[in-house]
Amino acid sequence: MTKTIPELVNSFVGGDENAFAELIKRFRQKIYSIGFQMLGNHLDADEVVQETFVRIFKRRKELANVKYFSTFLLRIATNYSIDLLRRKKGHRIIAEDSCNLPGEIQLTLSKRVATPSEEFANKKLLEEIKRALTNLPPKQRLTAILHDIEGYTKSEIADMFECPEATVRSNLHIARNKLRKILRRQIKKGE
Amino acid sequence: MTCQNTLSCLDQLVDNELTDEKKAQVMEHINACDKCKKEFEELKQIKYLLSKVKTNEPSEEYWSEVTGLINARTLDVEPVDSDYRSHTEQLSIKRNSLLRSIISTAAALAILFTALLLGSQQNQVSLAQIGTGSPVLATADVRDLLSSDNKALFSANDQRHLAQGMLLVGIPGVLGRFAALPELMIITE
Ligand SMILES: [Zn+2]
Repeated sequence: MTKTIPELVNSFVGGDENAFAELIKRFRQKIYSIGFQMLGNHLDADEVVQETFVRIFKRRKELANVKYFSTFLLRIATNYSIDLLRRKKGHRIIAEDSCNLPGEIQLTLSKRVATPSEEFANKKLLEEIKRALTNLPPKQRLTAILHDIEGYTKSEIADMFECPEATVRSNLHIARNKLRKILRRQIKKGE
Repeated sequence: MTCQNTLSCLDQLVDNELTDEKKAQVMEHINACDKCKKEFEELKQIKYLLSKVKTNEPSEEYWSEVTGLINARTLDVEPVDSDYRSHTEQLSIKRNSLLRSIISTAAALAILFTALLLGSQQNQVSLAQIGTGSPVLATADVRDLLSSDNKALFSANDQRHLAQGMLLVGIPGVLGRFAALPELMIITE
């Protein structure tokens, strides 16, 4: 019989090392993926994975009062990813004017992606959007990653961040708009 | 439907969060307004592109390595319950390491005293030779330190330096080993 997450968490809190191993197995890829998308490389993703599970181990006493293990775990992972990103980037702030672009620039994105024959253009655009993501401030970047790449719902993200859902909506809206503008600029430069 | 109304619910539109009725109204405006249509197409494109960003799954080798590292890093972590299994394991590991420290400290002290003893015996050998013509306290080991003409290979000075060297190396080592004692006392309580 496969144990449920709450069953595993119970055993883990009670000191069962196998339960801890099983929890690592079930959540490791999710944590790795968030770390990888946030930091952009394997080594940092690895650090996020290790640190997240070491921290959950240290804080396992708190799990008895936690409603959803996954939310608690992902909160640790996302907080650590943001910390790590800030440490790596120092105090780098994206210049505001990088988002103020002339309105007449034509974005031909939709046409390119809609046409199946333009495989190369798609690949290039995919690289462009990944690059554009790195230009967003940590919280907006994380919101876009969690919602649009990893597929978490707004309410799940609100629980992770311990903030109202409206904040998630607004972060996501700002993030997508900035991505749009950065992408327009990158495409314009590339042409 | 105004442009402002339309633009304010574009996120909900691409996230498929609008009611059918609302969606129909918004789409009607979008199809009639180039400005809003462009905004909508771009937003749809961004969402589509992000959905195509994927993370590769690392190998099983990586996962077993990383699980081992996590386990190693959580070994020293103070457990929640005092009766937690690995607590006793931890204590036994610490006790064993203390025992090893005591044994190696004793070994270091033994070497130190041997060196000091050799030094004093050497002097006695010399004295004995002057007095009675035969070494009184000499042992086989001490004789090895004498050359064939019964002159000392190591002078008394050499031996004093050796002993001093042993003290310099030995004392910090001994202190270092016992510095771990308070930590062990706390855990034992
Ligand atoms: Zn309009």
